[in-house]
Amino acid sequence: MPKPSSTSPARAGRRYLIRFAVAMACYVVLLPICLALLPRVPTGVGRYLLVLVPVIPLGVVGWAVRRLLIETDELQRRIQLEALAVGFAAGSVITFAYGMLERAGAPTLSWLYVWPVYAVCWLIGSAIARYRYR
Amino acid sequence: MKNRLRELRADRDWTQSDLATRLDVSRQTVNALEKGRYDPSLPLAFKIAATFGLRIEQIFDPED
Repeated sequence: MPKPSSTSPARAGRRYLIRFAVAMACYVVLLPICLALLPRVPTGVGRYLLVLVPVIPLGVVGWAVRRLLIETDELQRRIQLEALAVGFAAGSVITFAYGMLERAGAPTLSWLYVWPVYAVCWLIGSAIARYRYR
Repeated sequence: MKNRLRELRADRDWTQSDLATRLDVSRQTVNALEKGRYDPSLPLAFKIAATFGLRIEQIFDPED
């Protein structure tokens, strides 16, 4: 009985979870540090660069998702593409709708809420796609 | 699409994980194939046929 290779699609999910977890751990650590340091940084480019540091691990998450789509098998690739399609569509409708609500007087929210909305929609899309191919 | 994957796998005493390893796909993919919830691509269909030593049409039935 052959053993799965370390680069096999069967293990792509595990590799993705490790990459995702490391990137999110970096994000969780860096975000409060950068926000705590912000008052100490004088106005100028330095402040902008400081607050962009937590964005780097989010870029790594995007890279991890791309690697997952390349390394995984055809069904898992289809599931993730369907999940991303649902997530993008639902996230776009929700964020656009709230943008319109703000014009009508709803409380103004920070752009920082946009990513969590898309992330939740992506998770829901992933659950729907997995259920479809269960 | 109907198929004989589960029957052929059972004849050889393979688990879904065993077949997944031989096909280089995830166990979930094997499960979805066996239940007919997913039809394989042509390359994967040829790989499945080669794994069982059969022709594609001896494994998959296009009649729903």
